[in-house]
Amino acid sequence: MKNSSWTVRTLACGLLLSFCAGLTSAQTLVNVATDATDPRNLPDGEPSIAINPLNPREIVIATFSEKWKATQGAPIWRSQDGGATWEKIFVIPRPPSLRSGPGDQFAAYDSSGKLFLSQLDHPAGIGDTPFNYIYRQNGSVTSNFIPGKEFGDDQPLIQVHREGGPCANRIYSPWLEVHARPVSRERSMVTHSRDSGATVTTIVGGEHADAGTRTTRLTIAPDGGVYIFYKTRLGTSTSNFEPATFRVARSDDCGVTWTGLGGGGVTIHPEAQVQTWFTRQFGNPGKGKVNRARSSDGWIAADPSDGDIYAAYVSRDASGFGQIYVARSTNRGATWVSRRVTNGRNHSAFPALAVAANGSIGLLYIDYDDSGPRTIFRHRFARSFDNAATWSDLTLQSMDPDRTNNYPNEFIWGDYEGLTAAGNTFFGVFTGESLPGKRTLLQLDPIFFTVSAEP
Amino acid sequence: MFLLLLGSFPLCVSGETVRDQSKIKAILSDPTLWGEDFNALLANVKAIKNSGETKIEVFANEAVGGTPHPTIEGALREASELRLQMQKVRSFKSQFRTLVNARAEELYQKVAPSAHPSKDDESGRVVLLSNEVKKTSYFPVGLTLKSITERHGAPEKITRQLIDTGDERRPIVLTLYHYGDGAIMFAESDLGEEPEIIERVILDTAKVSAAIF
Repeated sequence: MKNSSWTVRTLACGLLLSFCAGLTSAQTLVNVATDATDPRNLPDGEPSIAINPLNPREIVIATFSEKWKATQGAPIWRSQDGGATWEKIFVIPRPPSLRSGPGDQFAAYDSSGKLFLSQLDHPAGIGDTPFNYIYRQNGSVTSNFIPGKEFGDDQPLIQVHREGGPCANRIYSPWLEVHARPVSRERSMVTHSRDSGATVTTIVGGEHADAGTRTTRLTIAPDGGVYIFYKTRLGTSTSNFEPATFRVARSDDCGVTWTGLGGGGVTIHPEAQVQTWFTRQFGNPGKGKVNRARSSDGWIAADPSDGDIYAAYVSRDASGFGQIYVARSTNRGATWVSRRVTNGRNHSAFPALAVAANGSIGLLYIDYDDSGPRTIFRHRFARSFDNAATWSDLTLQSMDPDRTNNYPNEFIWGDYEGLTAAGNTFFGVFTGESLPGKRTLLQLDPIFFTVSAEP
Repeated sequence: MFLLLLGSFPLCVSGETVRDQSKIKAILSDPTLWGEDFNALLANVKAIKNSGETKIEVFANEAVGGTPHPTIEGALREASELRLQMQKVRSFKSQFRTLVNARAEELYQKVAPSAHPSKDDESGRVVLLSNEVKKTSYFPVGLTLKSITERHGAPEKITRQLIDTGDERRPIVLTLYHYGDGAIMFAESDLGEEPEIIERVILDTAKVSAAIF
């Protein structure tokens, strides 16, 4: 496995002319927030990102910032110049439940350039089940979005079927059913909608007879196959890890049934089970703040050029460290081949995968180094140009979390971060330390980045 | 003789402790901050401490013990112990009695302990509510940080505390504004629609008891 660092290159500029004109390799990180747009220094955790397929200069990011109110919606970040500058647009109105929020959220565009957002509301008491919603754009992207029918209860993501055919513009939301279940029997669910979220149908995407499932993710292949990825938890967590399997199931009928790979899908790693993260302490609590990592150990993406499926998962292997592997399937999920991406020397987690138009694979992840007096977390980006056989990576940012304090211990950046691809460029967002000179108060901010998918 | 003389004098109290206790008394006796049942709650803080609670979380309409019990039965047992402790009524220090213009002996029975699940994590918690047939009022809904800082200055420290619910949704984060060396923490929840609205006040039972009893 290759593991050499390299200098970040200037962006591929095919679709981002005005943005590229001012870029150098040193300016591929952008501090999304400013003192003006983030006057309350909000933590902006758990970022997701989406690019308008009809106008790649329009990019949106969702983060934990202001709440929706009776009189004003919650915001998303929007760029109209390929990520060089950002504004907040307050377009997520309070849902029909009238509860607080947003809780969890994610963003995706359909093939016509319409934006959709998955949103989780937040009841006042833990005894009440939260609701997920699919919000749809209503006219201009700066107009209030419309919430659809409520469903589900936790961690809703969203993907939209952009290819033609019978599943065109079908919306899928993978989520975790946890509140309506015994603690040990959570289930990975998928909700789909034919009408932009106005009505929804919910299916069990992944469950186990004797165990709970988490880390529910989804991707759509160019042939219309829809894949759900999930973790089956097989035992008790000890020393921050738990035994688990990572599985993929497939739907060939627009999300109606999920038996394309047999009931429950297939395991994607060669071992019968692996050790993966289940902890409130990703990091070293004796050397600084930590982050939780319970559903932060997997992601799935499809290659738009050839339909291969890639799934990232965590395994504490012979190195003794939690490591990130990427498994590849060339036969629609029936079989998988895994390769380790990370260096075998640092605990790693929070993988986010994307595949560019040319088949290059990008992996955003976080590792940490606690060999010194303080824990240093590193947002890292790895690329493969040979179908995940070999990888090279770079550090986007290193940070000591105790230099900033606009967030609590155990929730520095959240459960996941954002990565996508448009053309032959990777676009991502992570919650990191504000860039030098960009904020009066050093703090956590969403940091937008781009990396070329060209070898 | 010298040792006898030493023993007859109280131990020296640090300047910081004196300042902290003054701040604690000033805040707890400020009638603009508190509801009609708050003094009755204060009258029982030492009993709450002696029942085993190191902190109590005061909401606008209820006060909740800081100890999470796995079952409601555990919280009910603590409530029984608290009921016993409350009978050993203590008097406010004379200075504090003057500040609040009330006597603990006349107030302590105006609230009563029971138990219910915590809305944060569903653990069993002791809860104190007014003994009268009305809605308990410990502080006005909509109490703002501004109203506190205008009268008592900026907080000594600001920290953040996460409330983990074991699931994967965005956790609740409390921003804690510290006064009196942490004896009183005004907490803003990030679930609130408006910023800097106080959702709960966390009292350190030992520090508050030392200041007012």
